[in-house]
Amino acid sequence: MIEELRRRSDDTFSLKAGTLYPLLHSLEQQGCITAWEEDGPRPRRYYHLTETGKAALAQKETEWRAYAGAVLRVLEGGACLA
Amino acid sequence: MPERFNEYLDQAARSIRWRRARPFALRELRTHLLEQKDAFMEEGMSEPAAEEAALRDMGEAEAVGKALDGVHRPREQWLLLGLTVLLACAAVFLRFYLTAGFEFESPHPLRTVLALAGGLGAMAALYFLDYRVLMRHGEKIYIAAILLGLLTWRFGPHVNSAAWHTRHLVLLYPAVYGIWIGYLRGKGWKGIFLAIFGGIPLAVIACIAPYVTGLFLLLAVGSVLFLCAAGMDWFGVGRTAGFGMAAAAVIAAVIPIKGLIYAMGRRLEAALHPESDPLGYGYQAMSVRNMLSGAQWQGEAPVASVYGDYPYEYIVPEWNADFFLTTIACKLGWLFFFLAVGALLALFAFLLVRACRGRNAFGRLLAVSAVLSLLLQTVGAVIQNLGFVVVTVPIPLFSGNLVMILTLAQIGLALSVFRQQDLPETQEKPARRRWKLVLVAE
Repeated sequence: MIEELRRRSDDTFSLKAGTLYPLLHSLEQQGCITAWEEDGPRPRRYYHLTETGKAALAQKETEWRAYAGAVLRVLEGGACLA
Repeated sequence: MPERFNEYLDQAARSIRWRRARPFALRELRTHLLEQKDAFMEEGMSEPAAEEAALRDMGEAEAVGKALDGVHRPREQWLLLGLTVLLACAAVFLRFYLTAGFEFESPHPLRTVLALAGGLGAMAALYFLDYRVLMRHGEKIYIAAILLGLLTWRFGPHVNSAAWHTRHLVLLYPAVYGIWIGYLRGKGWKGIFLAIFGGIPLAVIACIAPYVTGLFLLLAVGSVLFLCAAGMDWFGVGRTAGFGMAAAAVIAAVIPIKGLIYAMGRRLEAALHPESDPLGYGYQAMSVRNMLSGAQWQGEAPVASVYGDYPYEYIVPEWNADFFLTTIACKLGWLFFFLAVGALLALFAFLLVRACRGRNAFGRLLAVSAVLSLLLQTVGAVIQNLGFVVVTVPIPLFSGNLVMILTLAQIGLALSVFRQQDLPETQEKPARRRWKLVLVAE
C-alpha cells in the first residue's frame, strides 16, 4: 500500500510502514474499512472498503477537489492590489 | 524471530498503555517486519542488512507505539456506570423510605448496605475483566454453574418449598448459556448438539428449584442466543444448515413450554380474571388492582374500602419485594411509578440496542444474554405490578439484596463488552513470563 502511494505520488508521499497500521486500525474502528484474518505462522489481515468507507471517501474527495480548485484559482488569478 | 525485531516490538509495546491491546496492535507489525526482511534478502541483501532495512522502513518504535496507543484505548462507559450507581442508590433509598415503620419487613440496614457495596464491587470487577476469558473457560464456568445450582438446591435454605439461593442463581443461567455457546465456537455439528443438550441441565435445575420465571427467561433468552449464533455461522456448519437445526431445536423446546402453559391454566385464567378466584390464585392480583384503583398522580393512595382499616402493608403480599413498584404507585403516586419503570426500561433497552450493535460476535452474545434477561424481567415485573399476576417476577435492582447484586453484575458484564469492543474476538493466550539468568563474571 505504501509502495503504491509512493509510486502514484512520484515519491512525494514516502511514508514509514509503521504509520500505516494505526491509520488502518482507526479506519476499522470508524467502520470505514473491514478486515478478515488469515491464520498461520505469519497471520495476515486483509482490509477492504465498506459502504460507509466508500461514502466517506467520496465526501473527502469532493471536499479536496473544491479546496484544491480554490487554491489553484487564487494562484492563477494574476496580480492583485493589497 | 530475530532478537532485534523483538526489541523493536517490545519498545513499541511499552508506548501502548492498554496492555490487553498490545498483542493485537503489534501482530501485524511483526508479520510486516518478517516479510519485509525476506523481501530484502530476495533482492540480495545479507540477513543483518535486511533486518536493518526492515526496521528503518517501519519507523521509530516509540513513535509507532504512541500512534497505536492513540487508537487502541478502552472505551470507558463512565456515564452508564454513573447512571447505574445512581439508580441502585435510589432503589436502596426507596426500599428504606417506603418500608420505614414496618420493622420486620423493612430491609436490614447493614445487610442492604453490604449488598449494595457487593453489587457495585461485582459490577466494577466484571467491568474491568477481560470478558474474553469467559469464552476460553466456558466449559469450566458452565460445569461450575450446574454444580453450584445442585449444591444450593440440596444444602441451601428452602423458603415455601423453593430453594432460595438456587432460584437466584437461575437468574444468571441465561448469561451462563451465552458463555456456553461462546465456548462452542467453530466446533461444528458437535457444537450444535452440545448447545442443544447443554441447555437441558440448566432447565432441569430451574424446574427443581422450582422457578418458572427463571425457566422462562432461560428458554426465551437461550432460544434468541442460539438462533443468533447459528445465523452468524458461529458453529462453522454453514448459516442455513446451522440456523435450520437451531430453529428445529427451538420449536421442539416450545412443546414443554406448551405443557407448562397448560399446567398453569388456572393461574393464567386468574391473571386475566382474578375476580373468578378472589381468595385463591386471584388474591394477589385482586389486592394489587384494588389498591391501584385509588392511586393518585402524586401522594399516598387511600386504602380501598373493601379492606376496612387494614393498612396497605397487610393487604398486598410481597409489597416490599416483587410488588415494590405497586408500593411506589400507592405510597408516592403514579408519577414516581412511571419514573422508576421508565428509568429501568430506558436503561435496559438502551443497553440492549448497544449490545446488538457490538462489533465482536462473542461480546454481542454475552451482552445480549445479560441485558435481554434484565429487560424481560422488567417487562414481566411491570405487568405483574399492574395486577396481572401469573408467576412472580423479580424487579431488577428493587426486589431484594440478592436481586440487586445479580442485576449489577449483569450490567457490569454488558458494560465490559462495550468497554473492550475494539479488541479482537479471541484472546491470545498470555505469553509466559520469560526469565533471564544473567551470570556476571567478576
